[in-house]
Amino acid sequence: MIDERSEQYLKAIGQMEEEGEQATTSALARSLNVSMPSVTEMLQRLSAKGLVRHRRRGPVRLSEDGQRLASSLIRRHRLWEAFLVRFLGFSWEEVHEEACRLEHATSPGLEERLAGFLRDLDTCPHGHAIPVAAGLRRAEPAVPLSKFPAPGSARVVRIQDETAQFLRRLTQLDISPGRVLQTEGVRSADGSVRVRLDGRSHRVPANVAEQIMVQAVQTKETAADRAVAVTELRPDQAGIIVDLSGGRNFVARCLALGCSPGTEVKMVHNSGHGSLIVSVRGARVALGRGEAERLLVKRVGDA
Amino acid sequence: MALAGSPNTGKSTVFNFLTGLSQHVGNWPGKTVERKTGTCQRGDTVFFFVDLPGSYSLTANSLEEQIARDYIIQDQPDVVAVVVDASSLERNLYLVCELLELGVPLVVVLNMMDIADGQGLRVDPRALESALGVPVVPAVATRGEGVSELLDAVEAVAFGRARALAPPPPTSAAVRALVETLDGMIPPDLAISYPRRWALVKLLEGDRAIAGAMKKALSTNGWRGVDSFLRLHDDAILEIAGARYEWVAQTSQRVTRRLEKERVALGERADRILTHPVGGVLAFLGVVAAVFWAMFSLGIPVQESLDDWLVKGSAERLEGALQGAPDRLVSLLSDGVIGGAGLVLTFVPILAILFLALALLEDLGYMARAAFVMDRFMHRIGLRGKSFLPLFLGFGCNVPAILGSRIVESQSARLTTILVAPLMPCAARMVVVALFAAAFFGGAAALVSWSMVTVNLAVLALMALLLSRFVFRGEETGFVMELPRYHAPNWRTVLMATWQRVRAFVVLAGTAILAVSLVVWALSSFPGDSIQDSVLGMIGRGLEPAGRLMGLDWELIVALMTSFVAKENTIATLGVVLGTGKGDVNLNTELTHVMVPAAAVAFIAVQMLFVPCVASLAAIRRETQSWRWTGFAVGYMVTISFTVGIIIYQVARLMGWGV
Repeated sequence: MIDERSEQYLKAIGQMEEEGEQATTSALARSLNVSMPSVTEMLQRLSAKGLVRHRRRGPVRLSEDGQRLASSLIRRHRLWEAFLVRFLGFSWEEVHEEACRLEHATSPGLEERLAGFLRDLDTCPHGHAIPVAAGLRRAEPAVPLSKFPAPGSARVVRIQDETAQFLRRLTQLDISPGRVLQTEGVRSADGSVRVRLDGRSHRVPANVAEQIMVQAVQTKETAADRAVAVTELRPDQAGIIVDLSGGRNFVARCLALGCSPGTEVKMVHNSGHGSLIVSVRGARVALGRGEAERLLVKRVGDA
Repeated sequence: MALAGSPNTGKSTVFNFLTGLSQHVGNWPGKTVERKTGTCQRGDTVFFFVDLPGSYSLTANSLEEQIARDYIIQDQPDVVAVVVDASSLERNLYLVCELLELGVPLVVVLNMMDIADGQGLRVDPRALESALGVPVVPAVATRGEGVSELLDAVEAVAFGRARALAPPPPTSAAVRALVETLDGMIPPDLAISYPRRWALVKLLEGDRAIAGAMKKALSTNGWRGVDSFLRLHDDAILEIAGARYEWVAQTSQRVTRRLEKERVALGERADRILTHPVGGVLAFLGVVAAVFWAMFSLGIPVQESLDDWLVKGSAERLEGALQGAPDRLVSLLSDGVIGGAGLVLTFVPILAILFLALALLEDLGYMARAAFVMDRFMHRIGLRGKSFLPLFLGFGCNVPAILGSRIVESQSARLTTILVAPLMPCAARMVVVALFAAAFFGGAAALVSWSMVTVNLAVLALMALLLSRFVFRGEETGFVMELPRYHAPNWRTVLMATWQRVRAFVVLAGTAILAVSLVVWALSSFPGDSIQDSVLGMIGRGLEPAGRLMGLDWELIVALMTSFVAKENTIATLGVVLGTGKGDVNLNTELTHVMVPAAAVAFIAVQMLFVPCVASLAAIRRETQSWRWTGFAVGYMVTISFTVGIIIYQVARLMGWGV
């Protein structure tokens, strides 16, 4: 029998192997939020028990025994998550922590019953594959949303960060495994990604986009629902603001002047270069060209 | 009570009507923002008003908004009256919404009812009152309508006879959820100087001042959690503002009826020309030319006759009246007081015309258009379109350029404008340049003068660029500006603004400028009788080695130093130290004896770039409210002028030109 700390290490190494990542000391320290010396110490103990193979300065690999243990732990965790969501009405935000407690108290017998009961499911609510009894498999290939080439359509495969706070944010953005979103590009200023979901436009912050694993899918797109910079509007054309970005002060000032998402703006003056003037909520606002490029609109019928 | 409101809502007009001539204009402590206070008595009640800087919201985007907000929160006025433009209710209610969220006793002044009427809009004040839950006073401030009703309402609220606190407008479920979560992350007993719930919303809006206060109040770990939550929701501001506008739109729809179809306003047609890339620039140059014309054709003759009468005339009368009095006393009064501060005062008519023109253009709503068309050019040197007009006026005199920079809204652009304004080659400096150029270069004089002006403008552009790149970086809001509606000027507002600025200048001349003039006078008259034997003369001799590098004798260094009181003094001083002016010696020929042409060019360049006159410096000090920036201006100008002077002379000497 091994203790809970060791189990957490085995699980973390197992998850990295699933993703095809190298389980280095520093990666483990980061993922488990512990110091590097304590990782080294634990790896020596696990190595002594024959659960991992570890050379100095090299990545850690699970031994056959280690693999079996890690696979079983990960399997129990994901089974419990699936069970709690499907049968006990938990939300996907709450189940990670519950499953963390339950997995350690689950006997091999219970694990098998659970697996049999949830036969038809092959992923947890966060999109991770539930391992088969035979052991860990490589996860479905996917890239973080932050690295996905835009523009394009992407299907959300799985979510890496399972903390309640993070998942609540995703719920708010309406992003979950299986959803298909149109990416419109990464903004260089802060690395955030602009996406469109069911015709609504969102901006996904950089640290959120890193945790969302996606795959490319083929869909057809219409030019009409693509957002353009307000600078693209010719005089007398109108658009609905879908997003504005930039410095804090700039965003706040725009909002205070009435340019909030969902508002209609009409171009008054745009000579193709230099500043432009738009009409919004009955007032005229002058915008520098550089600033105006950060104001995205969706065109409405030509006037 | 405090008077709040967005820019261009007629807030100043309301304030002027309420307080009349009892106004006191100063600055907010340590800030470059104007602070106006005033009183108004009715019966036994004395109302004390503070005119808050114009602000669009309560998020600290600009110094103005921060000041307005801090005053409301920290000084807790009995009543906050917020002025809104009835014809543009939707945008103005945003600030009202924020004030309601803050939970301060509020009275809404529904101003510009006449303009709304003219546009076919019927705004129902009673309906607005019941929608907001606070008193609403309809007004036409330009005609003084509604002002006494406002006082009634304020009095009723201040003495607790009327309800002025309303529940905050509803927000969206998403915002509520975010606020709840954030609330749970911060200890309930945390002491901050802002209302808690309001502070939480501001945190989500990304307000730096509140974030700073929170960071200080929380433990390191506590703040890290809050900070990562805020980063995760860094677009919450869009949601919050969206929810506010939803309420605003509903409210304004409920209280407004449109009787006629929207018309294309006259202003819209005017804008087609005035904001046109070519037409707008031409129109603007026409306006500038007109202002200049007014300044010179009306102001200069008055200035000259004032100069004759006030400066020269009274100096003569004084000498006559004080016959028998010690020479020193006569010299103190005629050279020190009248020659220094008196001379500066003769510029009052020119300044009055200038300030009147600025106030008029601002009130008409034209200034924003001028800024818009000039922004393209000014942007390249890191300045804003609005800086152009004051800087351009610096050709006449630097003082109005510095004082006029008030029209630049952004704090950093305003400071940059003030700091580079003394580099504008003012008329007084051009007089000196013309004299030297004529004495040394004959036919090429115009070319030499022209290149000097070019050098100055190049240095100005460079300094502006350096300041905006390195000193004030990252403070910009970017170019986002409301173009206010054109309207007929309200003379009361225009004249009041002119009067306040002129008065400020007179006070400046009577205090700071007078004091410095006296100090320079003392330095140039003690201990010996003539300037040669004075402290100033000694300093000049001491600095001769530095002067040598530019080919300048001590006489010229002394002349340079006396130019500090007024640039024209250079010539007068040279006359004294070179012993001219007695009829037999001519200054022009004398000059060619004491210096070579290369040194003359170096001297002109130094003169052009040297520390501005005392009036300009006093203006810089007043406008920046900081000795540090004033010192910075002096320091950089001395450095640049000497460097340029030395380079010119040494290069010329090496090449063998004009030596």
